[in-house]
Amino acid sequence: MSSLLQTRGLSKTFGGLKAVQNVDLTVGENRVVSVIGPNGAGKTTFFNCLSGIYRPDGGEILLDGKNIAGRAPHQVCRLGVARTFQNIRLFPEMTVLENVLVAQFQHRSLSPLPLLLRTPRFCTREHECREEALGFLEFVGLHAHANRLSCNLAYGQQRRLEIARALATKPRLLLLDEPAAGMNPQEAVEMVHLISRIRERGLAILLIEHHMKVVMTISDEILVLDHGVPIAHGAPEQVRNDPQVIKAYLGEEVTH
Amino acid sequence: MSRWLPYLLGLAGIAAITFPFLWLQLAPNFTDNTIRVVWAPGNGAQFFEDLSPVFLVGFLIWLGLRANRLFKWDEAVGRSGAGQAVSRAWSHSWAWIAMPLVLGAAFVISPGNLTLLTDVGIYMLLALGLNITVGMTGLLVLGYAGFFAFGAYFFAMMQNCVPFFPWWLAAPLAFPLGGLMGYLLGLPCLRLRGDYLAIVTLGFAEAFRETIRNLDITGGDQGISINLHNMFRGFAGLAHGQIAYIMVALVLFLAVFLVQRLYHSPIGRAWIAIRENEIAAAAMGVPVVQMKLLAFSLSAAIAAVAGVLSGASDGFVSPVLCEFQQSIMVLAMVILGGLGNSYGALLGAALLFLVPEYLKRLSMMESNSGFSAALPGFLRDSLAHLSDYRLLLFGAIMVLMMLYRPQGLLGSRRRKEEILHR
Repeated sequence: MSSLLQTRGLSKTFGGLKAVQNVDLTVGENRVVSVIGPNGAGKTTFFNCLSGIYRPDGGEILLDGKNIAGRAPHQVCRLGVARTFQNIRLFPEMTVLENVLVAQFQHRSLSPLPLLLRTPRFCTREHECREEALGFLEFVGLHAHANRLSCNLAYGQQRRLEIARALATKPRLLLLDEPAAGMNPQEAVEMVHLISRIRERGLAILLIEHHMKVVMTISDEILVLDHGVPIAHGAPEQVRNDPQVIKAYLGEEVTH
Repeated sequence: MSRWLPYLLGLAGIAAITFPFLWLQLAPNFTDNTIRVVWAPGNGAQFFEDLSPVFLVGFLIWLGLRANRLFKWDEAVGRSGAGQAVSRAWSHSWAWIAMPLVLGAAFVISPGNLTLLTDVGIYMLLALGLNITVGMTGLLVLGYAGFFAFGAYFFAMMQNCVPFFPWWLAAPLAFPLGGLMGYLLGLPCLRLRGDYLAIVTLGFAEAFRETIRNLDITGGDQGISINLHNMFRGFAGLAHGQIAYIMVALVLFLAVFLVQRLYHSPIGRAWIAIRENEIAAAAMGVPVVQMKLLAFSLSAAIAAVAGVLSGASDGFVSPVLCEFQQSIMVLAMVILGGLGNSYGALLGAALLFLVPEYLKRLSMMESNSGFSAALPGFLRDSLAHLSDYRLLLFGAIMVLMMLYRPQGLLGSRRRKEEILHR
């Protein structure tokens, strides 16, 4: 198994709070790895470190063996790591299609003359990009809403738009931050289908999720964080029966 | 046709009502003590001549809105292949009507109104430029007039101090220089989150004003008179006012083209994305700092060119150009017209410039006519000084706008599109 992303001793502290401590994780090509843990366990902080929004205080983030810790978010994105957000961060005043078009920025030529004069080549490229963006929208089932403002979409649709937008950056690794949060069981099942279809496109997926059904169905590996510390790591079955995980989630059994 | 019928009826009604006032005059005949109604076309002609800037500017903005399909992609890459559809968008273009109309106006409109139009054009240019940073990218700039004054003084110094400096070179030089200035100023503060840019530009404008007030070479408080006579000398037999007007018109056309093409391109989308959600934009691969710097530099460059044009049309520069009130005025124009909408910025500039101007004219007209004598004193006084209260008026307009139409007059057309697509 070739490793796509690897973290070694990744740490991040806010003041005295050790949000993420010494996390070692390897994500192989085309694998689905989940990060779970109780609220405040540092999962989103971990993601923010990976995607360049936070600069980690210690440790390495290796992408294809190259350390990318401390790079700016757009550079990380350029290297093939895209993400969605737990608290949805769409561009509300833009249409659904435009949201996806923004994400193609790094694949567009910005040389000023063709852009200003709209040479046939530039127009053809714009046309291609629109078709491609519509393709991503179709993939997540939103192409009928392409011209609506993204702020007018329903909650579940907004989550799917975030995924389409992240896919449009053409990543090799997709970081999904609670994609099924706030969804009913039916929608959660659809999300599982969507994630496995993304995987079929050859992407590796790193997933934060509270929906245990979702996590257990699609993960190859699970990493459990508690108070920023990795407490378990392994296949779903293994993690499910780990006493430390049960303790972290349900508390300690009190013996009289 | 039926769509236009109400408008036509309305126009006909207005024409019918105003007809007696505009085209007829009462002529008392004192020998036989009769009053006759006589045909007086001069009054009507004068009326339309007085209002011609309003008609022209209004028509242009309307035309611009129609011609906007030239910039949009939805039609350009519609159902059919890209290349074919683009040519269709060009054939729809209304810009071809606007251009000869505006340039032709230079030969028809009186010099006084031409100067007014030139000034309106300069402010439209400023509003258009500021809209890139404030409206599209969502960064507040409070010292925009600093770049305006920079351009004007650059032009004045070049004209007066550099022998044989060709006047037409000033604007092409001011564009990159203003851009460079914006870049250097934006570099330290655009790397930070928050409204640092507002404070830094405010400081820049004030520092620039104090500098030019205290340097001998810039003429202190008096400013500099520019040697205009060696500028447009013998240029195709046109008067100075006509050349200034044509220059402003051409630059404005160019600027609208530049800004709208950028707005409807990956760069423009990146700007809006930054305004809407900076973190998400960065995470989607948009280099936020570079894009902000590009937007701000472009704004500064356009302001510098506007400054050059202002110097060229007035023949005079002074520290008044970069007073805080100027910056706020341009900002108010952008907000009034609609943040993020180029045509909104143009409309806002036209309104905030033309309304006080016409209030001034109105009060002059009032004091000359017998009509005002019939009014009560306080009303007469307030009419006569109406334009003095324009800041009060602006304040009231701003408060009302914020309450009832926070998106501005033209606002975001995206909302309208959204309603249409339902």
